[in-house]
Amino acid sequence: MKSRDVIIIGGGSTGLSIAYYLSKFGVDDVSVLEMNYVGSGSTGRCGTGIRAQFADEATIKMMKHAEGEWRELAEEIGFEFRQTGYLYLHHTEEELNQYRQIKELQNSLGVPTEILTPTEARELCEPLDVSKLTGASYNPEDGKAHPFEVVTGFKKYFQEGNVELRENVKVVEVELRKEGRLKKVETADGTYETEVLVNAAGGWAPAVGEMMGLDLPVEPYRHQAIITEPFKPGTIEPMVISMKHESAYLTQTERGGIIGGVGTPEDERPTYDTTETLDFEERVSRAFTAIIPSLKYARILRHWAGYYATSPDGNPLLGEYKVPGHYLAAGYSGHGYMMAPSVGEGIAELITSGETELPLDYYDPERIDRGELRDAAVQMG
Amino acid sequence: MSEERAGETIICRCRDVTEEEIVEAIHQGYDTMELVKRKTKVGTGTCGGRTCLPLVQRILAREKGVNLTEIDLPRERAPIVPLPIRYVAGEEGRSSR
Repeated sequence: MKSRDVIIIGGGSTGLSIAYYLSKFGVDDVSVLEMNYVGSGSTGRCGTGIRAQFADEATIKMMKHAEGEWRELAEEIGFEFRQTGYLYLHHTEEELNQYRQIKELQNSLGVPTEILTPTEARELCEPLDVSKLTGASYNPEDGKAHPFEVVTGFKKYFQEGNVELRENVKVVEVELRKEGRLKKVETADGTYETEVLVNAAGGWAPAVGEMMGLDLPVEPYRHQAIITEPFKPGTIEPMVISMKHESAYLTQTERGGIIGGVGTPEDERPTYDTTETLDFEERVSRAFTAIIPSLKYARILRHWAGYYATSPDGNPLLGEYKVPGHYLAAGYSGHGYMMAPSVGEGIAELITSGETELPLDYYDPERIDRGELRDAAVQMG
Repeated sequence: MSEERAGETIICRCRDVTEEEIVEAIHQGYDTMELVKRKTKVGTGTCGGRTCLPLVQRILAREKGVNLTEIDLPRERAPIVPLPIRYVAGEEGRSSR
């Protein structure tokens, strides 16, 4: 039986980031256990966007920090972080005024969001229909990165260091000592002894919790997305968001396809089903053509689904939880990928020193047990 | 196929992926259908992989020295053919419902 300082369950953006920062902080024995291949869960199915335009202080701070880390990671592990901005379209005076206030909060925390006129919005993205807009919010530091490049970048980086990354290894049991501390993690292929376990299993986090007798407040919701045939790169640079059109988000990938989706319908129930639905295809098509009329001539090439692993208040669950040495890093409710570097650094700091300057307290999982729900973070793109 | 010809052979016509690129990806460890697809983009063009994926299946079986039946095809995604957004969106001019 191998003994490891830290076992991380889940080889998505969260688990890989935590392993990266642990190794930076000098923790030698780290294993990441991924039941499929890196990025095969929600990371590889996400909308690729990274933004700091949130509406609460903690999340803005986490994401401002994350964008700085994304820049450095891109250089160090070799992928592209394309800072092409997030452009929020506003359709009423009321919405515009609300976002003016959010902009002030973002500016006060160092996020350089600007309010644009409809004409200025169009200069950033020529095919937009701006005739019904009252304005737009734009943060040029927001952007996007290709998830597969990110996870394979981490994988390559780990091949030269101490982190052991195992794919196609499923965890089957977690054994606790009599006094409640962690003892070992059993996989379908080998057993590890460890005192620190990180649950970064995304939509499958509840199954890992169950192995420790925990009922985790995380539920998987199907979230669908589409990609069109490729167009000339540079046609839609920013991630365009329209709350009016079912919280639609869309942008262009580096290969030219238009990728995006719309918000989860309110009557959607938690499910592990990732079947695509025609209803979604209709909703996304109506939203996209209302935002960019010429998209009606574009053809949908692929349509897929992943999970928004959702917590009761729509905010992540980050920190040590119930079993000593068990750290939860899940429940992002749709913005885990973008936050991954801050979560990685913060959780690695908690594990190594017990404290972090990042506002992880705000996401303390025990808040749910105490009934202290946070305001839901804006959940799209 | 002769060694010299490898690399000149286009396997995926939509994405211009050659046999050499696929073999290279397999030897770098992208050795399942799912991974070859993600790494090289083979099968993600307008034909949806109809032409190329059975060929990739053969290349994978050959390079890994296993039976063809042991190589799973990736999950098929909707739509079956590229679908113009205006057909799905309904009548022109109709915006979000």
